[in-house]
Amino acid sequence: MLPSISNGAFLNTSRRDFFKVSLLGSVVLLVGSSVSTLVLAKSNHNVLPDFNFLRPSDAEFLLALAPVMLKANYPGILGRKASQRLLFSIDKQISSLSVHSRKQLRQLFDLLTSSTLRYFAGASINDWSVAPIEQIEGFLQGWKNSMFSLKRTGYSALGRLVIMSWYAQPENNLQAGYPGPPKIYSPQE
Amino acid sequence: MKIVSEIRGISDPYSPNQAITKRTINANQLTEESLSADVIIIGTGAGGGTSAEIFAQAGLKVLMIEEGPLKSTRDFKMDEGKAYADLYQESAGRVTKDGGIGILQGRCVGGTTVVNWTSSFRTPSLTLDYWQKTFQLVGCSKSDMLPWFDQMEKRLNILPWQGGANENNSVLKNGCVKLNIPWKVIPRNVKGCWNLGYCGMGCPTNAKQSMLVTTIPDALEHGATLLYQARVERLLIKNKKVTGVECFALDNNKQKTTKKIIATAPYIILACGGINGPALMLRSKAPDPQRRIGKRTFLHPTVFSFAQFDHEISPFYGAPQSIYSDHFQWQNGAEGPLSYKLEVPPLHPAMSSIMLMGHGDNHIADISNLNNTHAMLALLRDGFDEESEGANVTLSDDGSPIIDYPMNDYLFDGIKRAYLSMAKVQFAAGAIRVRPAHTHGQWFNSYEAFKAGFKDLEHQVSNNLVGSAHVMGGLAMGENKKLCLVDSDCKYHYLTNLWVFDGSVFPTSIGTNPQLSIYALVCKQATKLAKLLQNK
Repeated sequence: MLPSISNGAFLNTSRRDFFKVSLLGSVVLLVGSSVSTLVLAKSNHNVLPDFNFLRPSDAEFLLALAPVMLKANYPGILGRKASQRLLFSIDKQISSLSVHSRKQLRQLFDLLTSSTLRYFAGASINDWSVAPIEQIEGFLQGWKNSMFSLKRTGYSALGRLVIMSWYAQPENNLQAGYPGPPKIYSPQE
Repeated sequence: MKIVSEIRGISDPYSPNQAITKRTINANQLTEESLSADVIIIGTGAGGGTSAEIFAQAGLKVLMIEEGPLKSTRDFKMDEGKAYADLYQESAGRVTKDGGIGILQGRCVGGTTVVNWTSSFRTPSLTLDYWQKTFQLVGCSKSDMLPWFDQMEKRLNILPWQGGANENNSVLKNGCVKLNIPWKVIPRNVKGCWNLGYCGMGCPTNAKQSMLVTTIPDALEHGATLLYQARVERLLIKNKKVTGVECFALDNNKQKTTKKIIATAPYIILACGGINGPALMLRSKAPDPQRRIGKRTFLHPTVFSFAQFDHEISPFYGAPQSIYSDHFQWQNGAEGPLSYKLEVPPLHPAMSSIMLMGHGDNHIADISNLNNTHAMLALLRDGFDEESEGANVTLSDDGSPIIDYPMNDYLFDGIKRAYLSMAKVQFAAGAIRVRPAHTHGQWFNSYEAFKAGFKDLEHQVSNNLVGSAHVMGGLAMGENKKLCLVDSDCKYHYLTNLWVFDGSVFPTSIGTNPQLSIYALVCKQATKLAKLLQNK
């Protein structure tokens, strides 16, 4: 158990403390804290091979969200390639962000992929890869409807990563009723 | 509207065999560690491009420095994912500090002019009058500005769009006609436009008269040098003078490398736009006795309303913006409650998927119906009331800008009225149902139902979809030194050789799409400065 958590008041969750705990979750999400730093120190730092940002635990989390967010459109005609394409696209989107933005996303992923931090953020899912759909949906609804703007913003950030990256794949154009752009024939230079 | 199915025979002004590419240098490949010129221009968007051409034609040795990549015709594939990552700040995901407002801003050679939707309006005279009165700006009255608008309209082929409105824009027109509300055709900076609809992803036919295909190639032909993928980290300042600029090469992921370049020139032009310009000034610890750098940064916060029709709208094809209505924009003059301009955004799948908000089955139902969907936008005119101070730009620990735009009651009041106006126009145009772009926004089948149901929506940060494609202010111009950082010629008040030639000098928002306001103002200022420098 982490010292700053185990000897603090956080685990004695009276109603008032519970309120504090939710706030903590939000603060960790975008501002960072000593708690997230401590957990970070323990987590797996290895980025996935051929990726710039995503770690195995991030990928597991994102792939758990994808079928819940995208429902029948996932995996679509991409079939077995869908997960890899989605992850590559998300990773590319994140790779060109500023150091500051990437740090914020790192905190968001660390919060949501560490079971300890997740507990404090009010997302009581033990293992994303085996979590039932209802539980993941419950987590998404909880953040979407939260009274804390940081959680609502976190929900939009996850949507931007998963949903936008999905519909940016040309193969998924037709899921949006979009026939695609005109063909280009380059002149010989 | 005829939908084009293929594009053939378009050449690229920056293809390797063109003469101008000789002085077009990727910072990563530069062998020297220092460069010098008569004038350094930081940024190549509307302000940087316009001034580069003027200085180069005046015979001055110009160095343009751009942090973004050089992407041109052959790179523009009408592919959203690629375009957002290549051409926009933060992969088109720049947001304000609390995540409440998303900002679309260009980051490439040519800046936002490469990705904007080509709408080109003169600065409204009420805005110019307000600047004169409140910020003691001189020499920028309506009549002072007339010749400069004329000149830039000619230069960039700006004319009211002749190609007809696509279905998406026709909804705005038809609704206005039904309600007897005035509407007009939007002037666009295009030449031989194919009416494709991909302006936001880089024009694949060179029709859009962005800086990339007009002023920058012209400046290069007149001997200017373009250094790209080079971020100016700070201005080197000594005794109230900018002695040079310190840059770092950026890799293909836009990340800073260790390759450092020092560029020097007797005259420095800051033209890297709102947000980035003020951030650079803060990083450089530029003199700022009234602490005004980054204050009053305006965004034209923009809200959206979706409408479904019983016929195809194909909102992804055709000139993205061709119709507007200013009916709600100036009802109380310049001041008073927040007011707004009505226009239309194009809808391509990836961006639309975010604009539709939410996830799951409802989201799928909405996005699968995109072909029959129209969207309208209301661009809110911020900065004309004491309740509308805009954003404050500060620095994060890595020196990148943080844009703190508090969303207050004044703003939400305008947002609420805008939704009602848009729904009214959409139903008048024959919409089957209308939905505000709000996390909890439902589809409503009539304007009466909309008005009743709309009352229950809670308007707060991240509930409402609020976007911005226009960054203005942060280094305000005027003689009122309590509020302004540059004088009426856009020279920085507290440095002897720094001018700011971009949208960051606007003391309020413009009240309309700002590109032509930047072109004309910069044309005026740069012409005056070029004459001064030629005589030295």
